Parts: sequence; structure tokens; C-alpha cells
Amino acid sequence: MPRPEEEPITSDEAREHVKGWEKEREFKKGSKHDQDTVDEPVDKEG
Amino acid sequence: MLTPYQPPKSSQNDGISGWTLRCVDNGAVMATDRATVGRIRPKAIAIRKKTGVEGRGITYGEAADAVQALYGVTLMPMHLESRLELRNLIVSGRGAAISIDTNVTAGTIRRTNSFRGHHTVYANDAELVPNGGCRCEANIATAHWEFLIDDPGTTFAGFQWWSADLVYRACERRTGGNGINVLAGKDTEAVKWSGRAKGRIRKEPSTDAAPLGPITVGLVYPGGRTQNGGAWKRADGTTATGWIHVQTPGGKWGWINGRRLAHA
Repeated sequence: MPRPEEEPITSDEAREHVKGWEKEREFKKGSKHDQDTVDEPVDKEG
Repeated sequence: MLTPYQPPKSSQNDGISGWTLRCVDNGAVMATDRATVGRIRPKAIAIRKKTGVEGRGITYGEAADAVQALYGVTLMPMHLESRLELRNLIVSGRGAAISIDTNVTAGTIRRTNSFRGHHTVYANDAELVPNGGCRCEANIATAHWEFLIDDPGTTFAGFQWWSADLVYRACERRTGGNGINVLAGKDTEAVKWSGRAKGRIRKEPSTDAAPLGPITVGLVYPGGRTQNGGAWKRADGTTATGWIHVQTPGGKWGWINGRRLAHA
């Protein structure tokens, strides 16, 4: 059975889904999740 | 399939000292450009200077605060709990910088040169491709989801389709399987817009197209999709190509360029 993220969805359906949790997912500057977004230096052009 | 307005690639290899650390800065450039449909195209170095951070990568929170202060544009740092949430966030009509570990993409044709480590790329769209429609690195014969990604860590590769599986695994490696971190712009598809500058509504997404009437400053227009179209000038004289499909007060649908609208 396909996992939920593999099923088809319309943009309207996705928008309704996002409305249900988007505010709860926001994190603040300096939080643990924020610190996890600090990147390492990439090496060279290409 | 129709894709939303796609901002130009923003490569971190801009020749300015410290470029190797500016993945997040350049992801924020593209997220801001997409969210404003071309009206605002920050310079990555301006975001960096506003944060005051030197000698390390900046966080999504620092980037969001800098973009808000410089341009009045809201980018939201988010910790998503599942693959489904990431897929639906992008399908809903948002562009987002996403946090990955390139140890997952290394060895594929979507690698960031020879770099292995913590990195940020930008996602502009997600689509379910049908049997035989694969454009991603995995050459999959059956229907599957793909994300349209630009990697600021590359110079010559532009936007490319990545398999959703590769995106999910790269995001989850970064957090040790504890969710997915993103820096998301506002939804640009099927949302309401407010007239912010005088001009004309056009029959097609081009300044040369037939006019359908004037734009009323302050009036709220129901919006449809966005897309790239004919070139127009930003307030700073640079060129942009973002257009928004809106419904006129008379019920007709027409196009307005990104400079003349803001989220209602």
C-alpha cells in the first residue's frame, strides 16, 4: 500500500492540510531546531 | 504540467569573501523572490550583513529576521514532522529553503560537487509524474513524486528535478530522523492579492499584451496561479519575470506583474 506522501493530492487539498498545522511548526531564532540549520562551508564551484 | 513562478538560481559562488558559508543566505534570496513573485530579489550579501554574523553559516531564524527587517517580507522557519508535511507544504504553493545532509546526495548526479555535510537547497515545486515521465536522478519508470530544486552550492547546474525519496532521505539524515527543517515563503497560488502600484491588467503575462483595465491600488484581487512571463523592471531597475493571474472586478481573468501586487 502506498505511503500517504506517495498518494496523489491537489494543491487545494494540500493547502487545507497545511492550514491545520503550519502555525504549530514555526520555530524561533536560537531554538534547538534553529541551531540545527547552521550549514558547513561547501568546498568548490561546479 | 504548469509550474509556479520560478525565481532565477541564486548561486553562493558570487566571488565575495565567505561565499562557501552562504547556502542559507542564497536559499532565502530565492524564497523571498518566489514569495513576492519577483518584486523583491535580495542580494545574498545584504542578508548576511544584516545578520551581523561572520565566520559561520547563518540559521533560518537569523535569515528570516534579516529579510523581515530589510524588505518587510515574512519567511517562516518551520520544523516539519513528516515527509507528507514537506510534500504538502510545497504542493500548497510555497517555495522553501530546506535543510539537508549531502552525504545522502553524494554519489548521485544531484550531488553538491564533492561536498559532504550540512547544506541548504531551495525547493520551488513538487509534482507527481506519470509512468514514463521521470525527470529525476533515479530514472524511475513508474509514477512518483519529484521536487524542483536549486542547489546554491553549484554554479552551473540550474533548477533540477530530484526524486522525492532523495529529498526526504537527505532532509532526515540532517536531523537524525527527527523531522525536516525548512524556511518557507508565503503561499503564492490561489491566494488574495492587494493592488500596490498603478498599472494595467494584461490579457497575457506580458507588458506588451492587450490591457484589460487599470489596477486599483488597495483593491483586493482573487488570485489564481503564478508563472514566468515577459520581462518587467523592479523599482531598483533590475529585471524580473513574475506574473500573477487575478480576477478583475468585472469577473474576467487577467495578469498583473509582481511589482504591482502584494499579499492581501
